[in-house]
Amino acid sequence: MRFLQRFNEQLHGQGSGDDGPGSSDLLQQARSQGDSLLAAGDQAIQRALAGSNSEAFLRAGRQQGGQ
Amino acid sequence: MADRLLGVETEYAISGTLGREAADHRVIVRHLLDLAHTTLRNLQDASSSGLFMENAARLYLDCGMHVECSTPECANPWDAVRYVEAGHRIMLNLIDKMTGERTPEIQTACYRVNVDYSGTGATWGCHESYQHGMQPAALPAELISFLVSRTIFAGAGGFDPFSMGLKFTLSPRAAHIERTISSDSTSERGIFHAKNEPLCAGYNRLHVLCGESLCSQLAMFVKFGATCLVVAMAEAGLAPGRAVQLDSPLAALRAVAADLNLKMPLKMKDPPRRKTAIEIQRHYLAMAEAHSRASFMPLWAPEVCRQWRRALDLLEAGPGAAAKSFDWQMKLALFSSHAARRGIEWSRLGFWNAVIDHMRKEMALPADGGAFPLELAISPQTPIPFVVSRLDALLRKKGLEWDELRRILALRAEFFEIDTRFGELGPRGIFSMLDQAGVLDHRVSGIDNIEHAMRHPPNRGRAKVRGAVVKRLAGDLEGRWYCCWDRIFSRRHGRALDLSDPFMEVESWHDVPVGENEGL
Repeated sequence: MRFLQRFNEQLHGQGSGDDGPGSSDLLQQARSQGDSLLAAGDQAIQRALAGSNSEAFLRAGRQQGGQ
Repeated sequence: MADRLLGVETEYAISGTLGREAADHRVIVRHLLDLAHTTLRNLQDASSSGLFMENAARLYLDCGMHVECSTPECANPWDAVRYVEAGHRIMLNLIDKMTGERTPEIQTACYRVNVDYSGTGATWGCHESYQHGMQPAALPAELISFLVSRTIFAGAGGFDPFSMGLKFTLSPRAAHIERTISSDSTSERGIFHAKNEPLCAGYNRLHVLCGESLCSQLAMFVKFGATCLVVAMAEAGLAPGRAVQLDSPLAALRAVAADLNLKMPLKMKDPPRRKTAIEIQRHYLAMAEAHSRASFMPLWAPEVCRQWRRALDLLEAGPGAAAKSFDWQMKLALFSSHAARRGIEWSRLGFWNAVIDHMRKEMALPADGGAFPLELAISPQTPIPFVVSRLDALLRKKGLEWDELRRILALRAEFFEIDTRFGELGPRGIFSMLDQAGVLDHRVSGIDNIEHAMRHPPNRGRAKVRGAVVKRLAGDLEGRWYCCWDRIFSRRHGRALDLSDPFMEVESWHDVPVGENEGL
C-alpha cells in the first residue's frame, strides 16, 4: 500500500475540486497538521533512537510471558 | 438508566540497563514494589505482594514478573481512561524515584506494549473487566464478532511478532490469540475469555484479554465505552451479535489485523455472506444508537455512540483522517515515513514478506519471529536451490534485488525498537513527544484531573468506599490491615469491611475472629 502517497493525497485534497467557500482554510489546516505529524514523528523517532543500539535495546527489554 | 462498572488492568513491560548490559529484572521489580509500599498510602494486598492504593486501584506483580496496575471499578469510560492514565503516572513516579534514590546506576523504563520482539515469543496483557448480570455462557455469541472487529480502533499497531520479515499489523497481540473461546490466560488465549471470577456478589464479570495497551484517549474511550454498551444490549436480551456471526472468528481476527485498508470482506454465517469489520461495527453501533436512551443503557450511552460513530467515520475516511487519532494509524504513518527516510519502499514490504515466508516454509524453519538466514538461503550452498532460482527470475522480472531485502532485515530491530518506544511512559516516549508537540487529535473531552485520580478514588460504588478506607487505615501499621477487591480486614483488630456489593456507598463493618493468621 502506498500509504504515504495516499496519506498525502487525503491531506492535500487531491481530486477534490468541489471544495466550497471556506474549505480552503480547513484544507490548509489539515495539510499543515499532516505534515507536522510526520515531521514531529521523524523528530521524535530520531530523539528516541539517539545513541541506541536496537539489538541491545531489545535484548535488555526481554520480557517473560504474562497473561 | 442502568449503572455499569468496568475496570482495566495494565501489565507493564519494564526494562533496565546497567551500562550496556541488561539489569536484573527481579531487582528492578523488587525495588519498584518496595518503593510503592513505602511511599504510597496503601494497604497490603491480601492475595499478593502488591497493594491497594488510596485511589482504590491495585498495584501488584503478576505472572511473568510484570508489574500490573488495575484501575478501581469505574462507572463510565471517562473514569476508566482517567484511572488508566493515573496508573501510568504512578508507575512513572515510582520509576523516577527509584532511579533517583535506589538504583541511579540503572536506566529504567516502562512501556505500554504487549509483545516482546526480542525472540522470546512472549506476550502480556491489557485486560478489561465488565460487570454484567447475564449467564456467561450466552455472551460469546453476542460479543465475539464485536471483539474481532473492534480491532480497527482498538488495535495498538506494530509488527507481527512471529514473522521473520517486517509485517505491520493492526494488533501484534492478535498473533498470540489461538482459540475462539478459552479459559486460559497465559497460553492458548482466546478471543473470548471464559473465566468467570466475579470478585463481588450478585454479578458476573466479563474478562476481555485480547486487547492491548493503547495511548490514544479516543481509542481507549471507544474501546471501553462500546464494549460496555454491547454487554448492556446482550444483557437486555437484544442479541446484538446474532445477525453478524463470523464463520471463523480466529481467521477473521487474523484477517482484520492484517487489513490496513479496512476493506477485507469477512466470511459470515447464518446466512453465508461477507461483511467488513467496519460494517460489523456499524451493525453494533446502529443497535446501540437505537437503544441509547433505553432504561437498560447507562446515562452516557449517547455520548459513547457519538464518539464510536466519529471513530468509524474517521477510519472509513482513510489514513489521512485517522492518523492523528488511533494508535495503529499513528504508527503506520510514522513507520512508513521512517522507512522512506531509511531508503525502504514501504509498499514493497508485502512482497518481501511473502518472499521470506515462502523461503522459510521451504527451509522448514519455524515461524517464531527470529532472524531469517538470508545469506544462507541465497548462497551457493542454499538448501532450497530451485526456490531461489525461481525467486531470482522473479526479482529480475520485477527489477528488484536481494540487497533491498538485506536492508529491510537489517532494519527490523530498529523498527521493533521504535514500536516499543512509542508507548514508553514519560517524556522520552514517542507518543508523548507527539502529544507534547500538539500534532495529535486523540483527546476526549472530560478526561481530565489525572493528577487528582492518582490520590482519590472514583466517586461511585465500592471503589469510593475502598479508597476512603485505605486512606484512613494506611497509617495503622500495627493493625496489619489487608485489602482485596471485596473485603478489607484485620485479624488483629477482628474487624472486616464487606465490599462484596459493587454499588455500595456506605461502609459495612462486621466482626471476624481475632487471630494470628493474618492473611486470607
